[in-house]
Amino acid sequence: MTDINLCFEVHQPLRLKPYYEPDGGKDLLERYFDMEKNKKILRRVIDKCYMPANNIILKLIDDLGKKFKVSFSITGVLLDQFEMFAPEMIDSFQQLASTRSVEFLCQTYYHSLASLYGTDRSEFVEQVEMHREKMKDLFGKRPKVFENTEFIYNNMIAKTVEGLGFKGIFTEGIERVLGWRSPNYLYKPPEHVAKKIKVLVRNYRLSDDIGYRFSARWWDQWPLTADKYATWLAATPGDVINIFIDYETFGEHQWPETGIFWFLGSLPYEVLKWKNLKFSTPSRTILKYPARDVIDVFEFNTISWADIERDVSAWLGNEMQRFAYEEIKKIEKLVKKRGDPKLLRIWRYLQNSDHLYYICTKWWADGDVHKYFSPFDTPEQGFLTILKVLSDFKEKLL
Amino acid sequence: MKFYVKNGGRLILMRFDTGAFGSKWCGVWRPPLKLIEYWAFKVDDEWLSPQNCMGFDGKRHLYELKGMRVEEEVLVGDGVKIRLRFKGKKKGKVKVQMEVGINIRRWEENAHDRRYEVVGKRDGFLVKNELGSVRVGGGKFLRGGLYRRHFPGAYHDWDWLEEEQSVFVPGILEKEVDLRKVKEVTFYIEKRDFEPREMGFGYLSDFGFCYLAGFPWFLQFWTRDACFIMLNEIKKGNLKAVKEALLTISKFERDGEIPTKIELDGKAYYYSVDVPGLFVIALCRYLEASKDKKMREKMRGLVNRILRKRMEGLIESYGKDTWMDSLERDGYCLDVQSVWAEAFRSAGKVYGRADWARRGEEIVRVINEEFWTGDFLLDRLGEDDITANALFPLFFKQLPKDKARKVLKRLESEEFTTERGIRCRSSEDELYDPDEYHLGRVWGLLTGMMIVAEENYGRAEKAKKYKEIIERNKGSRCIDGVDETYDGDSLIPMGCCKQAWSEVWV
Repeated sequence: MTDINLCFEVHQPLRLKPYYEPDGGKDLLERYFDMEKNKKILRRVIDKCYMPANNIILKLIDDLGKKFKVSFSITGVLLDQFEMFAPEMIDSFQQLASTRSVEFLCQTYYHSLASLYGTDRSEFVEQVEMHREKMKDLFGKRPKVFENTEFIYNNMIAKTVEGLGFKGIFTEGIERVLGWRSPNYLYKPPEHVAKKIKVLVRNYRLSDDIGYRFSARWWDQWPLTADKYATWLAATPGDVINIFIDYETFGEHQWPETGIFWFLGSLPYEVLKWKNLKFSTPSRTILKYPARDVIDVFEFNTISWADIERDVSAWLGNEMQRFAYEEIKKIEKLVKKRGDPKLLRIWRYLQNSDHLYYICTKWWADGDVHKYFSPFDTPEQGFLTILKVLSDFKEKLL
Repeated sequence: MKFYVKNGGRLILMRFDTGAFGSKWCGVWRPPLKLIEYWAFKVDDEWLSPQNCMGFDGKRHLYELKGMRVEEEVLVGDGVKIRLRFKGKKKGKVKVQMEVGINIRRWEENAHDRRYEVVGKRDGFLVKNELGSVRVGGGKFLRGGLYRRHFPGAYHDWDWLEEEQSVFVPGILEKEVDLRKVKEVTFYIEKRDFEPREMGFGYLSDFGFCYLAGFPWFLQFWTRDACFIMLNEIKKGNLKAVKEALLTISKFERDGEIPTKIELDGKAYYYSVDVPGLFVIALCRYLEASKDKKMREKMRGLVNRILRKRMEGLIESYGKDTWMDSLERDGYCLDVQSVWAEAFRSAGKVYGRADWARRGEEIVRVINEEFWTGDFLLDRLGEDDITANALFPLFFKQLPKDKARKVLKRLESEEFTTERGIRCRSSEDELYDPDEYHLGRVWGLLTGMMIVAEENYGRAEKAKKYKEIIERNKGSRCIDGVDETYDGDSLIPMGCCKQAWSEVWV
């Protein structure tokens, strides 16, 4: 029997204003962030994606009971926006939580790169704890499985996360680390790094078949139907297949006209036709299966799920990104010294990895993806904007 | 349609009440080998088949043929006797033919390519391959020799894995019967003359007697299961058999470890955290009931070797070494502590060892303090799973009455109790999954343990209720058998259809 973990990353950044406005008002949230645009985009994504997808999943759970299960990893940044602009979405996710067929994963509250802030892990730990408490408050359970921002993973992150009491951590199932080994098993970090935590690796091929290739007419498997996809799953050996995709795949990245909602609604029925497949959730999988082998990921070989490189170059690949990242980090002492929760919150929103993602200058295929998501016309515009915001914010702290 | 088992202690027959050999588990077994895939009789030009099988009374299949009825009675022991009795008005001679599908394979195999050697005998044949041989007799052997593959599993509803099987038909056994003179004809497998037996779950292996865990597929000595069986057999007074089983298991003790599983070719597997403790408990219960001083002294060294390794701290589990062996329950499990507390306490009493008794009491104290949540017990220290493992300290009477009542109340609630028995995990638990083996299914074992738990705390009426559940569960898929598990929500029977530790409680 192979477990199918269908997991969704649910995230919307709090986008900066495309051009810094020196007279933007005293409220720093309004001053730096384009709240109108964020609200508008959120509403669009709710209408096109979150609400219809949630409703389909709820109906599937109603119809199939415990046979169908999914997992969500919702960022704190998005939950804050739900609370500000669309509390009905919180209700909808709570309704899903009440079915007990849904597992909520933990991540950094601010979808940040705090796990990479050198040897001092305190900011990372605080953000993880914040998110874990938020999950408990909203959905009644403290998550046991962690998914770091954008699947960023190395030995030290695994060690820290184990220290926080998590049973499992997600990362990308890339050949660079797995070698000949299959992504469809659980792994563990080396013994000297961590003793108990298990590593769930994403099957990126099967995930990307839905997330990226679903509507690609150039793809020799187009159109992807639920029965065809279930056949592929059934023919895939292993203990667990982790399908982990952006929730926005449904209706936003893949438009409704592509048939993506039909696919979501049909897939569970097609999967359950196979006796060797079973929907599960990461916590259940961790309890059921042993780690089959060790994956050893040094810090200089850090993994993520972004771009072709599957490393951290999507956020720290050029000078501008690294400069902005260092500037954000530098503020930590100042902001924490002030002890003002409002200022701390602003600084943490500025840590959102998306701000650095928009400054990426990769010129090949991935550049299109960066551009697709970016509110800026060019990476340089993004860079200048965040620098100006950081400079202004620093002044406020002094 | 129901499954049935006739366990003769050496040979085992499994079949359906329609007369069909409709599963890869059906046929004649001498574990770990399967010998016979099926047999089929033809009387003149009519086959005895499920289509003309009119019923099964627990001993005999009754077939309605043209102008007569045929009773097929099967007796099992060291061999198998198949008696056909002819009833009705039909007179004259009839030709009876028996086709036997030979499939000598190991338990874990499915289709294979082994070839057979056939030796014709005076009234039958001997057929052998590199694994073993089987003798079939009772008629004139008309040599043939057909190799073929088939899929016997027509019963997908039961969710049994059914794979392609290999069958060899060496020929036909034929006998002419003059109905004016003879009303009965007998064919046999392995032995013509033997004493038929009905051994329940008991089995006489080459290395001694013990208990099989369940039918159709647990054809090994699973010692954890055997210990639970023994606890009940002792209560029923079957001390001789229990002593034999204890002696058989004790032969496999290595450095204070008792195997979790012993295959019937003598291969033993050691991978559990609780089985040595359960063995000590079963042994001590036997010694208390039998006052067998010789046995007590014989086992003293073994008990010492088992217990001395575990004199410090709590007993830690790794991987799948608890009774919930489909789960990775690393850490300090309640069921494990409870078993070892009882092992130390009872060994302390039986062997007069105060240090063992103290050690047992210390673990009981930890259960009552560290595992206690206020109204229930933790499944593992530091984890929030809500499972029926809270039954273990009740089963071994390790909680005071006030705590026990709270735990029992919760176990009696719909969270755990269903019409089929006790769920292994609370339906309120985050990870509850009704069709997962140890994440939500109802277990006969737990239902049985609940009977004892209720009795231990003077709740006879409640105990009766759980007894009645087991009685009701009897025969759902297997004649006189109680299923291993049930789906936690739909309550559909799952797993083995005749599981020893599900049915020994009544």
